[in-house]
Amino acid sequence: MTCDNYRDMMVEALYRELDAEREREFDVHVSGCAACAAAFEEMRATTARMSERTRSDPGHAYWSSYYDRLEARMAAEETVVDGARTAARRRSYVSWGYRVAAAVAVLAVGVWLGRSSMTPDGGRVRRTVISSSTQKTDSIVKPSGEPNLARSESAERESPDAIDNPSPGQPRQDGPAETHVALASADVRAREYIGRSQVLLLALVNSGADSTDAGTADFEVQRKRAGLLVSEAAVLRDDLPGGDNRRLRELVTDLQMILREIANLESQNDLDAVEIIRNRVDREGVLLKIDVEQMRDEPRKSTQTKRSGAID
Amino acid sequence: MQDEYELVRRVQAGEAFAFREFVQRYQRDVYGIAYDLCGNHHDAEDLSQEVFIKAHRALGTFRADAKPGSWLYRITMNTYLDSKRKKPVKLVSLHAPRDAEPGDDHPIDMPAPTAGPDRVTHSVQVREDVERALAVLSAQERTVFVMRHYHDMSIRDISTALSIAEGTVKSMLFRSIRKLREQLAQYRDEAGDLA
Repeated sequence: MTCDNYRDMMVEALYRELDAEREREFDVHVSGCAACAAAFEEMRATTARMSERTRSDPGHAYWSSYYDRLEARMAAEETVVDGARTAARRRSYVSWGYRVAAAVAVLAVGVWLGRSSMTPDGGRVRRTVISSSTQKTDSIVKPSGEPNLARSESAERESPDAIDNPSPGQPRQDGPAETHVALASADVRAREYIGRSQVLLLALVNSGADSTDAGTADFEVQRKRAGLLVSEAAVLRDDLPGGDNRRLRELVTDLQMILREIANLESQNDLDAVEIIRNRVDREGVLLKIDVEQMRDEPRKSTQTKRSGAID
Repeated sequence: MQDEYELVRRVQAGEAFAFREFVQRYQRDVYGIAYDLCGNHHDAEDLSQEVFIKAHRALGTFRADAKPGSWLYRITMNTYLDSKRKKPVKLVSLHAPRDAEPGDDHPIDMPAPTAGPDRVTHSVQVREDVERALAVLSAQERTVFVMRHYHDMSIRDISTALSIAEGTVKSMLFRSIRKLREQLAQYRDEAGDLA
């Protein structure tokens, strides 16, 4: 072993923690190595000096009151801890208060919405004006062609009385249609517009063939309907800014142009013009574009249906 | 004197005054270690009380795999080291006068009055120098040295209590003694007398 190894043992040797064999070995080395002996002696002298250190005793009075001071401190810290707990509990209560208030508010809004949108006879919830107006537009293609069923929404807006007094079988509307139309976003209104336009185009395409066979054709209903849709499109396109609605806006524009041609038809027997329109619809794939757009809208519709189901 | 484990059991059972007895039994030992670690009365009082508060919270889970006294020493050392990690190190000049402390009025190991004024003066000077030399050590070095030198705790027990290797404890002790030797260089001539 080298001197370094023995120096590593010095602390243990100093405090007599070496086992007997190592202690003997250490003593032999130190007795024969002046450098290690000197180093060890310096350590011993230093620790001996450190042993002269005395510790002051605080006195009897200090010890007899030690526990009382400790108990007072514990009580104080417990109070602080309790205070912190109480404050935390109070914060928790306040937090719960806010949550309950928020829940009640949400519930109240839900009840109000439910009551305001339920039919008086406890029937289905009227979801939006879109569904009701689509229902009305659907009626255009009915063979009976009753004038009241062919009314456009714009026409309904012009005669609020008709809305307030719906015909039997139609769901009653509680307020003016404008309110509901205004509530619907431009995006939703555009889709609703496309749906109504689709119905009109389909009606024209189908009725055209039938009319040819019959020798006479009356396009008065479709013409008026198209005129209303053209004027509606002008407003709608302005409400569809931004890149997200670009596709919808383009489709509305395409429809507007075709609908304008329909609106310009002669009332009766304008079969050549109808054929031109039919070709254009076919050539530009307008109905296909509508189908694609409706397919894109399916996820939103299904979500809306789920929500409505949840409300029901 | 009743068995120290029995006293702990009574505290755990929630017996009235048992904790008071527990504190009174160990207060001098804990305070003594706290004083050796902190070097002044106020910090020693604060540290020792903190140790008993921690012990009070932990006594419910105390198991008899260690002596209650050793357990308290371990808490004392670790609480001191924790406090030193939180507080910035207070630098003490070797030439600055020490602050007067309440306990200074009651030295328990003061030389006897018959020792003569020169001897008393010299003893007070040594005491102050030793205290200042200790202040030079780092918190860990001081803890290791104090526990080994003043409280006769073995190197192995110190390593266990502080969760450090025995080799590290030895290195710290060696380094501490070397630092102390440098701080007490003025007494080298008297080394022969002490040896």
